Amino acid sequence: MIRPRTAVAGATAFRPTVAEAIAGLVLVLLLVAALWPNLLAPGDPLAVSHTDAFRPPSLTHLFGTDESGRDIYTRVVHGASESLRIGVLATAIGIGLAIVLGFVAGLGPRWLDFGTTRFVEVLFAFPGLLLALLFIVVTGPGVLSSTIAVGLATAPGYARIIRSQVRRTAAAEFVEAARVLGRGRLWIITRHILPNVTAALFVLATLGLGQAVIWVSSLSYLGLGAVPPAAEWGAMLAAGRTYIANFWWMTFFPGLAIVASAAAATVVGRGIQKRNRSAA
Amino acid sequence: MSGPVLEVSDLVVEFSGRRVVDGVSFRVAAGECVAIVGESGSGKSVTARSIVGLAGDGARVSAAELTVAGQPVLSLTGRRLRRLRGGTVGLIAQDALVSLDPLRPIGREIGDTLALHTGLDAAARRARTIELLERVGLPDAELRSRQRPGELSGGQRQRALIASGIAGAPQLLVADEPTTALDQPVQAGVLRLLGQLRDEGTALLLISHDLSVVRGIADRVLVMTDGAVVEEGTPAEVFEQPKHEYTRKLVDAVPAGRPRGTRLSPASLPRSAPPPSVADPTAGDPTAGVERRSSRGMAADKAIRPTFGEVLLEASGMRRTFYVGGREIVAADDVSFSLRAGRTLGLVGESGSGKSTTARLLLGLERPDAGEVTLLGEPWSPLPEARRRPRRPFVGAVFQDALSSFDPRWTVGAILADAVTRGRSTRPGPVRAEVTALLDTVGLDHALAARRPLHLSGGQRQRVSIARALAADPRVLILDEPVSALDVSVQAQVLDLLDELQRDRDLAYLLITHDLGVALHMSDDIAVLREGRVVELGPATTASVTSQPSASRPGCR
Amino acid sequence: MTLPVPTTGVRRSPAPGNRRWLLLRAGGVLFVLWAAATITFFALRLVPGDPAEAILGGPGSQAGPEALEQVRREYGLDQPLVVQYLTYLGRLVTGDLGQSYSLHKPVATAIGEQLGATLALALCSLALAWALACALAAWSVRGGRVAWAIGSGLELVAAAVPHFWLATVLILFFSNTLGILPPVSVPGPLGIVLPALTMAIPLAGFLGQVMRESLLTAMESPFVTTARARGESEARIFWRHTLRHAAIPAVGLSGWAFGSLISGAVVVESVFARQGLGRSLLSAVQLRDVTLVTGIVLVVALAYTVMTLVTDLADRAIDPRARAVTE
Repeated sequence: MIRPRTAVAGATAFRPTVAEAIAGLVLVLLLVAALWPNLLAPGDPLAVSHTDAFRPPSLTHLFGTDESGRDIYTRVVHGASESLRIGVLATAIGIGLAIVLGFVAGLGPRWLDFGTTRFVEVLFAFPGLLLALLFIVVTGPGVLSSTIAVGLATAPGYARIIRSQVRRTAAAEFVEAARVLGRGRLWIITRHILPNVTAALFVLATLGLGQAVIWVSSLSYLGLGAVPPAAEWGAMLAAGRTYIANFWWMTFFPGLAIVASAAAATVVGRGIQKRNRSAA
Repeated sequence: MSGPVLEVSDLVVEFSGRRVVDGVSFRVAAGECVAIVGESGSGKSVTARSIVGLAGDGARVSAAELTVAGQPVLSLTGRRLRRLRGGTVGLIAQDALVSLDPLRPIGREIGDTLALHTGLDAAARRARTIELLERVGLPDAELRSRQRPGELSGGQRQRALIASGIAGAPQLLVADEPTTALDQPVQAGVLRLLGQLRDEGTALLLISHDLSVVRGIADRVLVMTDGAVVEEGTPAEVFEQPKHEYTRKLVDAVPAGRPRGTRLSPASLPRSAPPPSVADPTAGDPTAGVERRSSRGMAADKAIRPTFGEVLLEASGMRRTFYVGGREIVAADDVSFSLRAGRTLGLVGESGSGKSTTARLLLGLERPDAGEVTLLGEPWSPLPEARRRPRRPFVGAVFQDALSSFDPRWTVGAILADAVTRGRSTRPGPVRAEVTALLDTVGLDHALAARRPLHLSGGQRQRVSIARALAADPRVLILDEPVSALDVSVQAQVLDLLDELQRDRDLAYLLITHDLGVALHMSDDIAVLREGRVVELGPATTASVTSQPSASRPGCR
Repeated sequence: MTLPVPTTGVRRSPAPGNRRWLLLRAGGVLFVLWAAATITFFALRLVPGDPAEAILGGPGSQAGPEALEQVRREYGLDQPLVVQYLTYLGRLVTGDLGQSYSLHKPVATAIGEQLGATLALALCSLALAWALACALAAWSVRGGRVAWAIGSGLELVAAAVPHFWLATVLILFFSNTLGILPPVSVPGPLGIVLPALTMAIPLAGFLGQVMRESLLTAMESPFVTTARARGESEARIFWRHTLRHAAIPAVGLSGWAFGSLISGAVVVESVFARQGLGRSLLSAVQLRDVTLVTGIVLVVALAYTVMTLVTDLADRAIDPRARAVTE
């Protein structure tokens, strides 16, 4: 049967959609903000000016000012590096742990797979934030511990995905074909399984980054991560909380930055995933 | 009833400007079976589905006339079109496992048709459902009606699907590849049922790729290619004296009943290139003692080159059982045979008869519980994998689904370079000559080396798969359903290629297939496998094997 | 070559497999609970410094020596670790989760007081999320290209919204601008609307994305063609066939969804100053009330594990194919 949808998708597979183009742009802007914040906002994020306190958004203060007269736009831009660094670090910790667990379970002997899988299952019994909170209560709050906490909390989910990906690749027919050709186990792992799983890992990391940013900022908001006056987005939101009834812009714009980065990461991740799948 | 039930004239179907069906005309009378045959992409399925207004998303359908029982289909909309579907025309699709809702009992599916097209109340519908299931030859209809498609066998499912198709007592039945997913004896039963319905006065439009299916049941045959009907007539006319060139090619491509060695595809491919010298003799090979080869045809090579008829791979008393859900399943039971240089052993059997397990045992991917496989007179199956590996180049494999036997990330060039260099490199550059020679051998364009298998046609993929198997210069090839996913004309080309290669190189083949026609055409000997046991083994020409139900299946999907 | 699926004469018999499956799963649940308890026990010992001090709120608590001594005796901290561990497990079995220093009452009592509010919130949110996701997916799948784009865009943004920010925006809109709903939680049904909506929207985004994918797959399945060829209307096909197929993966996600709702409750309850387990947990973390934290975490783990089991059961009830694959 003719399936027009797939035919069309095949023809335009590598041209980004409008949403993907926008998402890509957002990510580039975020990267610029994180690496060279002064290009986008030359001001000082900590410059206090009491005469300018609580200004609503205007041309001079795009996102308005906060209770100490600090420019919120400048703070959001400068906060990108902190928020993203934490997000990236948390994702890296989560995926790093998951790679170890996933590969051990996916490639190891049966008993090792059994043990590792049970271990991951137990970690799974603590839904998301709870594992992070359990970790924080042991280590005490702070930027570093909240980052590690989020990494730890996301690891079981990734580990499960990686394990099944490894298993699926190891059971693939082309692996069998390689065995028939006389290739050894190590060769098959390095030439077939690793490259095929890595592609999926990259997608996982992109998708996970968005979630990690949300989680870490949630912890900051709850006062367990970065603390004001640091220009971290979650901390900024927490600081603006007191004034929410009258000065909405103090919470709205940092939140928008979080939503935009999480959504952009998701769109880009999905896009790569779709192309991987159609190329595979 | 007077006049045709279905009248189609100058039917045109377009998908975004591309003509898939181009001016097709035919008619089907009550009690008549008209068959449309063609290969994939010929437009036969779209033609069939246009009759019930289901050509597909984005299809533009036009016709000078398209009437079913006097109703113009194209001008029907909404409720009246739905009344036609199921009530006047019944559609029976290919695989009932997916064509019936897997989550609902089959009785409910049939009951739905009754609810839509008859005025029966719930109790009467239930009774009628049982009647219908009995009519299509399902025993225990009461029980079956409460089961879901996944709980039934392939033949039972297909019968249930037919029951749901005829529940609305349609005047016309459109059967789109109704037997393709079935084993041959089951297929015959389903065809008998369709024939019976035809004899009772239903007009039947049968769509199939399978000439032998059509031959048994059709009153008239239409041959379609590229969206147009190229030939029309009775089965005898079309198959015995084909007039159109395409029909002739199609009929010639059917392997059933063609003696071993006759070509199935018309023009030979330009393959004058000599067989490639694949191994790199300068590369230090730790296992040189066993498998070092120089270029072929030299006198020194004779030492390890097998003589015609010599036993290369021998299975004796192989047994393998699996445990599934606490149940023991014997996939191979006392299987013994030998593969000889230059000869083909055809291994036939229905699905689940243990064919694939046998292949895996021979390839050393699975270890037999009992019995042994020997390669060139030395042990093969009992060896640990590390000691088997140096000898693996002697035994190559071609898989049914070529696409999934390639790493999706690799290009054709990388696949062949890897095979040529024995896994030392996937860069085709340094071994370009060998890769090119391999592509020549299997009749592929050199430019294909840069492509990924995903972007090749089914026949091209299978050729790449054969090239990969040849790269290591094997003595034995295990061919697991190598052509069952291919159109009949492409199948013919691949079979011819395999035949030629065997003659050039004195290869021993194990040809696994469910298609007796293919097996008889290709094999010197035939083994019939049933429930893991070899129930027959003998020369392909002996009467006992050939007298099996000869409903062979030249697959050409 | 596909895996040797030796189907020679095998008829799937769901009945005996079912009981075995259930036993295996129940055993799995017990194992997970035991392991979770073990992890929390060691988490307690991992807090740096004197464990007795940790139980009383860490080094900053300035607990008197006699208070410390009492805790040591009560928890058997002077005993060997193995004895402590076994005592701990023994207490858990009898439902004794220890004493909360910050609330001055048994942890089990404290949890009992808060559990109802959080469960009510979580269940409201789950129902709301399901309704939103179904409506959005159904509308956008059947409504053509524009509806498709809008639907998937909405889901994407919804899934990317952090709870605390969404809460802020909803409060701004419904309380400050429209003035129809209270900004903080008040007793009665009105007070639950905003918190439940806050938790439901991101979840609906996730569920909607999953449902849309599977709806699309189901709509392209051959059995839909069969249903059309039988003369079924599009609406009937949607409600009778495709929706059920689309619900399967989303039902499978409900266990996970429940877990994410509990996580969300930590944030949402504190934003809306709403009573509940999440808020207690947060204040326990802030006050470093280790016994309370581990107690709550364990109870949630229990609820979550049971919930997952229930989801699996539901999955098997809807999808007979899940029963066939017993592993």
